Amino acid sequence: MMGHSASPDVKSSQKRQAVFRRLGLLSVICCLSYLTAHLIMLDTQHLPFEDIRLKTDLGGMGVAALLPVLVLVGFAGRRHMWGLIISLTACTGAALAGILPF
Amino acid sequence: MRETLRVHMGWLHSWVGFLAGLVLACIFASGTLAVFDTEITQWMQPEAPLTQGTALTPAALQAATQAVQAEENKGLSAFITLPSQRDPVLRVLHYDGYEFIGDVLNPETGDAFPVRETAGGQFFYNFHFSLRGGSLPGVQLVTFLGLCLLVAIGSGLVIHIKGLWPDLILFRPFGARPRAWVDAHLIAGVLFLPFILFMAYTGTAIHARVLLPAQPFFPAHHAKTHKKEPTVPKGRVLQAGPLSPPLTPLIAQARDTLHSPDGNLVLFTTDEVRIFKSDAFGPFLTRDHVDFSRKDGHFLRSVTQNPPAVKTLQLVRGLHYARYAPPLLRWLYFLSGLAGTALMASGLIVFLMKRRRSSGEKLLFRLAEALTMTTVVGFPVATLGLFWANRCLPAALSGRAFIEIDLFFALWGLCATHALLMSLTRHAAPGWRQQLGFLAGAGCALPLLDLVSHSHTWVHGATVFMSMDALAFLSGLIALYATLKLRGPAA
Repeated sequence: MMGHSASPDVKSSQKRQAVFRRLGLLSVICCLSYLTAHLIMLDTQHLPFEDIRLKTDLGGMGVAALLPVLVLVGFAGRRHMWGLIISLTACTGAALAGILPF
Repeated sequence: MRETLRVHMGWLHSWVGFLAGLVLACIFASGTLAVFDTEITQWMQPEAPLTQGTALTPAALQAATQAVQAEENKGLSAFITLPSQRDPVLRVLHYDGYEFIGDVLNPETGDAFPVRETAGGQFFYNFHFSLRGGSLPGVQLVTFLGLCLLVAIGSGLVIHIKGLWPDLILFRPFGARPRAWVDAHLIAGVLFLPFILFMAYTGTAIHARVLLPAQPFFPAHHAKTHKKEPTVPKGRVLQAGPLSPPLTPLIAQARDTLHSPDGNLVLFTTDEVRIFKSDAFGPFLTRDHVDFSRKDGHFLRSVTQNPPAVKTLQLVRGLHYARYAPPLLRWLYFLSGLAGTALMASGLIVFLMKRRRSSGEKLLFRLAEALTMTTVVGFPVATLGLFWANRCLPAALSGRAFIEIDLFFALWGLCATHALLMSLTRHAAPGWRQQLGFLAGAGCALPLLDLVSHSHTWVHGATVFMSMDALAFLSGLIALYATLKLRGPAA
């Protein structure tokens, strides 16, 4: 916690640390979201359509909507790291959907 | 400072918005211009008369097929666009690696109009989706920036969700300078939110496969490695096909089948003639076509796709490309696109204003200001420069289209250099004024240049010429107002 009496040096150091924390969180969330989106693109290849291009385009529509939402939710949920947990869950779900024989 | 959700998301909005916004503003601006790509091409090729109601004759189609064959003999894959209400001429086009360019024929006689080579409106279309960088890295970069825009919109919504209604009606243009810019940013963002969100989403979705390929990054070891078949580069043919049979009956049959009364596309393969449905009839951007034999013209097949999944994709593309839009709706797209561009430009300026004092105007801040100047003023200057080049370069100059484009980038590069020099030497304010002054001059004088160049008559297609000149003049006036405003003391 920062008090009003904190010196400018301490303040700027705390600010820098906060920025590094945010950058770290954002990098992890972006990597996870990208991996999830990629796995979903692979999953769409199991859709019951003959045209591969159609499957890829439908997957593209899905991930274009999902990826920004994943980034936002992952970045917004800081308390108890629930943002990170949601991102990991989504990624695991996408991976399982590709492995399990649905 | 307490790390609230608003502060947390504000940081994301500011940095993603600024870094991506530097390029996104140009992408949005070029997309806005691409709404009128055909009209811009018509302005840039004033020698082609825009006479409405000229009947398409078999002789003209015969001349067009001969022109296609001549292009194929040069190794180029050419196609024909038939006259439509929007573009009443016959065009024989080929892909030059970036745009579709080619001859313009009289739909009655088949004679080629002596039009100047030009980049045309296609330049803005190509710049919009690929930054003229091809599929890799151009389209990839634009798609990635589309995702960044969606993140910026989402985080912006989180920040302002409580104030959405007040932001919609609150605009204080004569308030203190930062307040007025924030108001402008908010009002553009809130009022045009559905359009901007829709365009960002559809634009990203259309090319998402380029950013997220549907093949595993690390293929299994036992997976068979397929030898890649040598493919013909896009826009090229390995060998010319036979001279096509008379197209008039084929077009009539295709139009009947596709319910597409004009403006169709006629493509040629070595064995087939494919006639495509026009994009102008409905918001679904279909690729329905009717195929005929290129040898004797007999009907081969009709390809139409109607499954709901395909229809959905066609609708997404159709609404983004807006080729179906009648003039009024096209203007609405244009105005909404301008609002989106204004949103991004004002966001860049708000970012700088908020940090000017706290940053102490260190090197990085000055670099950011130079980049903002290059985007906000440099891009419009380069765009007007392209139009000036179109009227000033000799009409018969060979390789003219590429020279126009080179001039566009050279002018933009000059603006960037000027902005960097002025900003790094702590003269950013005069730098803004000088570039805005240049923009004002270029914009206000363009109609005069168009008038004195005597490149066209004002009888046919006057609306196209007058609208383009008026828009250039208006952009000049806005730049002039901004220049004068910047002369005054900071409010």
